Amino acid sequence: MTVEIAAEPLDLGCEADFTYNVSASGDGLRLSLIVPDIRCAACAFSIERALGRVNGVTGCNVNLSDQRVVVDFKNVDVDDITGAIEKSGYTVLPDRTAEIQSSIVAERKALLARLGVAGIGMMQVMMFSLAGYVAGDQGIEPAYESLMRWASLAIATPIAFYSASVFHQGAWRDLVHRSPGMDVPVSLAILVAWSLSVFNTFSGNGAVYFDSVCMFSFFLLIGRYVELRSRQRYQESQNLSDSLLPACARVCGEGEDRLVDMKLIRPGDRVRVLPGERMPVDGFIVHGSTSTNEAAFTGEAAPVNKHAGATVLAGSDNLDGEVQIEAQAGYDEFVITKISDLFRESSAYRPRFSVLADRIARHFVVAILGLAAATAMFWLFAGAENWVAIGLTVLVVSCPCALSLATPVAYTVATSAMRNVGVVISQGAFLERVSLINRVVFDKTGTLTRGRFKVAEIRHLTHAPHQMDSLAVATALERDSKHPLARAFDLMSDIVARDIDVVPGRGVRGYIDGHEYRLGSPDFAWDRSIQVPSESGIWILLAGEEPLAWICLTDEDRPEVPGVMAWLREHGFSISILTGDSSGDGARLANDLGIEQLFSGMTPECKVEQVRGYQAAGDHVLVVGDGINDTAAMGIANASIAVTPVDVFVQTAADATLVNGNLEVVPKILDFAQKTRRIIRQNVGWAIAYNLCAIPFAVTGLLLPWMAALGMSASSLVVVLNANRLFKVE
Amino acid sequence: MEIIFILIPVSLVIVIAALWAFVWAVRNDQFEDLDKEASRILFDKDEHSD
Repeated sequence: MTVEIAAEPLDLGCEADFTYNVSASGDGLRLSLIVPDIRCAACAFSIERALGRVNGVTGCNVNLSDQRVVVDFKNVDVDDITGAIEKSGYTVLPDRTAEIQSSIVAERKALLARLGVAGIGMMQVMMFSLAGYVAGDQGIEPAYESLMRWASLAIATPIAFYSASVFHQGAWRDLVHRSPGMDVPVSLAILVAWSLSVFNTFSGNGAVYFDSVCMFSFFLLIGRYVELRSRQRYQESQNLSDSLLPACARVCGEGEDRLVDMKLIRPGDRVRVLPGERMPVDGFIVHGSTSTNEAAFTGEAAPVNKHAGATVLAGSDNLDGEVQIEAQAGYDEFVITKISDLFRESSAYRPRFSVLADRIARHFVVAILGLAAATAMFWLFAGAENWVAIGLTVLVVSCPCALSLATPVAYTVATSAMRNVGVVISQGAFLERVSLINRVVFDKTGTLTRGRFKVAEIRHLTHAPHQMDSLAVATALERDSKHPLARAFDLMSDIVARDIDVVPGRGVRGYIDGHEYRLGSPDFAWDRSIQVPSESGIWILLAGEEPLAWICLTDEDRPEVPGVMAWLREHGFSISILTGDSSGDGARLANDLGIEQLFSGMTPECKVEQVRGYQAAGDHVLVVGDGINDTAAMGIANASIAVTPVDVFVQTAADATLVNGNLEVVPKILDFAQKTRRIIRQNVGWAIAYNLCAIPFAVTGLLLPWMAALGMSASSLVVVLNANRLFKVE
Repeated sequence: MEIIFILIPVSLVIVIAALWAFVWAVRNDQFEDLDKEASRILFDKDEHSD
């Protein structure tokens, strides 16, 4: 599974081992890829067109909704296929979730086929039984009626056994596990109604309930399908962390390096990592030194210097030095893999209310089975001919499907809706808790500010006329640097610096017109001592033959913050800022925003204490933060939101993550949580009211089975459709 | 009204055809990507020069 390394260095981000994604298909091979930058139909078609031009590609399908490309090919190299896509300007990633995905698709297709069969069949059976309903009391001619019954039997049978098989299987599973769920009465009702109808069709008297069987199955399947779709969309949205690791690593061998798939890295392997690449393994540096960005773990964007012996974590960024790392663990043991496993586990969480509803429903199921049997017995001894039908009606009408659907459907729909506006919810109870929030606590750096540096001030130290613009010189020196501070110098500059040398963790040095310039920490740029300005911000020194200028880099405020604060205040939320920063920057920001509750220089423990204090005073606290110093407070808070998408660690601690890093979504979340809560209450209220009202009518024999089937499935449908109102976040 | 004895079986045949068509469509991925196909008409099949 290895690829020989090419003569020139490869970009590890793109060069991946795709052999895992090739499977046999017909007489050729099939390759499944992820192209994360497919945004619209135009992208999809241009990829299809590019692949169509590759000789040996027999077919391809680009799926717009899940950004997956499936290529069928024969007699052609996988590299040619990925190359063709890359040449059209797209990123190609191996499809790590291909197996899961294909099972998801299969499940969806199977259910859709069942649903369609039930729907089409139901229409036709309705048509047949309509004749009887229209005729009313006089009835239709026995010969015609018998014909209609046999025709209905022909169509209802595949519905009762093929379409409704999901319920029968579920019921069987429940019985084996001795925990009767909703499927038991549903399956029983369908089978009993079908058997009774078949019996009456053969005997030629009594009533048939084929239309009820079909309608019941169809409406319940709609509910199932909507639920499955929202659940799968939810699962798909949880695959964020897969993109954080490179697909393979450069393992140092004897003589030359080999690219090895990440999953095959063993403890003890030595891996070479070039500047600008992601660390592929957990291990320690054996050779070289560099600085790394561990924002993925700590939320702190400032670079960390690493020398030989220092530990590095897979998923952090290697900024400016080439290093050799000895792996200490295999793929499954990496901190980041563990975190993403945790993340996935936590997403399986089910809201407390839903668990409760299920438990109630379970007892309820046993009760209604008993009730239906008792009612049937009563009418049998009372001499009623239709005792089976009455028992059946009780069974159908009292089925608490709506109650058990009420909460989970609303949650899955709400979760996908949140995902569409860029909020990934990792803690199921998030919306439940947010609906109670009355105080919002913000972190400052990276949350209210961007965590991205910009040049705030240049203080020239010399007035020599021949000097070039300091900013232009700095830009030229930092042009190719991957360092986060270098991103502040993203201007256009026509000065070209030569022989640029990046000194890890200290600065850069280069030649412009034959003169040496240095930019970086004061002791690096100028070897004599110099007074650093005392104002807040990060001060770096530009020096040539003499110190030229101090450049002050500060963090940039997020532009949407004032609007968000105004909204929160208007809607009666209390706001506070807790920041670890002890400089005056927090005070300035709080002053600008008109926030009185500012606490600066807070350690993580102080933040926890502060949040506890608010809670003791009766507040429900939402913590919005981005770094590891906020995670403790996030854990203690009633609900929490992480602002940046990169830090997996914080993502796990937080109940939800803003993928776009835009705070404007926070008011939307607060508003949406209220709406979700309202809709869940409506659903539960409706479901309970329906069951309580309908059961007495059914027990007294006043309802016919078709009314029960309609009422029960309509009630489930009302719940599902009501939940689907949550699909849009305003 | 004896025509009913022909029409009902005919309706059964039509329903069976409809069911077969639907199941065929589901199995052949006709419902897999509803967004892309809607825009297919807006894009040329292939570029002119190649």
